[in-house]
Amino acid sequence: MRKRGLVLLMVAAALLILPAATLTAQQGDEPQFVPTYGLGDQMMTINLGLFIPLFFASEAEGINPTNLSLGGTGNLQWTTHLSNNVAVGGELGGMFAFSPSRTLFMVPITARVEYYFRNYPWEFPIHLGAGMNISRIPDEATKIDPILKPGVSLYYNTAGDWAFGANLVYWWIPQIYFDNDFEDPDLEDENRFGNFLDLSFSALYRF
Amino acid sequence: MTDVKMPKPIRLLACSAVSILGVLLLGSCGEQPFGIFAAIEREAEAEDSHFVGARLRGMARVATGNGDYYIVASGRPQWRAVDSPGADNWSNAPRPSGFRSSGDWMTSVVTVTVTANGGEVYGLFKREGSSNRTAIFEWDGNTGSWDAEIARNTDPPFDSGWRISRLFAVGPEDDQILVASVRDMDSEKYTLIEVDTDGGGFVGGGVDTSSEFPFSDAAYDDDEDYWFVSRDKVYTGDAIETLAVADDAPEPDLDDPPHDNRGIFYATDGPLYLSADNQIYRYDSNNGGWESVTINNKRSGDRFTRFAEYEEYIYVGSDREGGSTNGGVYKLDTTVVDPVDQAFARETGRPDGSVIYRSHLAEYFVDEEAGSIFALMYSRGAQNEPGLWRRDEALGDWNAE
Repeated sequence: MRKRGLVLLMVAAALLILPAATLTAQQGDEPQFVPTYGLGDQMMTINLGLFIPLFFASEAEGINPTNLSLGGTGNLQWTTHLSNNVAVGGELGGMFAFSPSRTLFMVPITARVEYYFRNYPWEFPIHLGAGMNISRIPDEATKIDPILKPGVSLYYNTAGDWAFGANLVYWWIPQIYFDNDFEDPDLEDENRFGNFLDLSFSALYRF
Repeated sequence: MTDVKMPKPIRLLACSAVSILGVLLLGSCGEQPFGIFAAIEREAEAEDSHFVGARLRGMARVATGNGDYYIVASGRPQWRAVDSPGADNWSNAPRPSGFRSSGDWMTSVVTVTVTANGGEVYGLFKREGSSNRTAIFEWDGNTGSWDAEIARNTDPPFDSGWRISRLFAVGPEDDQILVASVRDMDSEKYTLIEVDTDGGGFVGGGVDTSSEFPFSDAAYDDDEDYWFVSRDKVYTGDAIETLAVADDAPEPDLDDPPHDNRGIFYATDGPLYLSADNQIYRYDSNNGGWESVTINNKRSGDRFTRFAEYEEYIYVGSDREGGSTNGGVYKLDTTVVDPVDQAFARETGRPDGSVIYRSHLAEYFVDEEAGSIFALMYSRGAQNEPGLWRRDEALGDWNAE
């Protein structure tokens, strides 16, 4: 099942990138127009991809596997340029993955800053998202934690307003509980630092 | 002086950051049942009980070779050898001859102890399409069968308008009696009556309790009084025919959702315990009154069910009002002598390490000879995983059966 999902995602990625490659081939040796961006130039991005659980870390138990399956993730981003290389914005996303008897859902809501390196038509933004993450096991528990999402992306700009690419984003979620967080005061050592990887493909629209 | 304004996107982000911090602070206020990441990290492949989805109504150890456990699961008797633990070893168990595997049901099984070391096992079977619809049989350990019918619902003082609904073994440890709860199908009320296990039939006329609710548990105390409990009432008396409502017994709030698993239990050295929804009471015969027992780590919404004594602990089960996830096990350490210090405490078996935590506990069965306690669970929703669970040591894990 996981292999088949991976193949489907790769096909989807190829379909996203293929139009860009075709456009490049048509451009030939014509002089390139290299756009620059400034305050007020905005972007909307949609990302879909794989959610890869890495490990949980804790003082009590050390480093341990997450017990989660490969999952799915997606998000919507809005960003606006402050200068040609710097953009800020926000992001609303979600993920799911399965444990042996549960399903974990997380919804991160983050603010985001991006710095762009360019070799037009290619762009290599590095970015950092910070905000809150809502973790939920249906019918059992919900928790809101902070989240940090550092990442890198690779975009190919088409001749129009569109760019397509891929992202590699690390999710770092410190899930910290205090004594009075539990119905059961005997519960201890429940703190965990969640470490996950998000591998997704993007479609970006500039306006 | 000139105002220096932040660019609009920066202001937007600053506002967002403040909002997010606010939500983070608010979100950390609610109580959690466990750490989400921690629970998933500890989670193991859950074992499945053989009885997932079954309604378990009584369990006994019957004499056959090295012995067998016999359980009533959704009306069907199942058994396995005592020395072959595990969910894979259960199979269909014998029924009385003439009783079919479909359409006829078993509704109760109890062990009546008649010596310090053992007793006789009785089963209640219901037969569809017959005027003699309910009958009590005695297990024959020599033949491994239910061939001896002891009583049926048409035996005097009853007729075909009555049904035997449940059996109770109650009395002194080495001289228990078998009591049947018999329901008048017209008035839908219950009579308690002793079963004559020697001569067959019933003893006397029984007592019309006028109870509209089925009886769930029975006990016998050192003052030689019998106790029976239904959803709303507690009955007591020095003989079955003199049972009367114990007026001073705590009553649950009937406006709460139905709860037909109340327990009453007399510990080896006393006292008498009673569960009444979300509280446990102890009966002090010297003062003639009921007092509530301290419960540590109690979760709101937990309602108490049946009791059992195993090693140095008295266990009580719980279900969770309106909840789909958690029932649980509470226990009291009997080595604590001073009643003031005695308290039930919820086992902190974690939800991920023990599936039993995610079900609701109907009753226990203790096999002192084998050193095992069994928890008979039931479901209150799709998230539950009811079934049968066994613990072999006081501090051991619960294992799927």
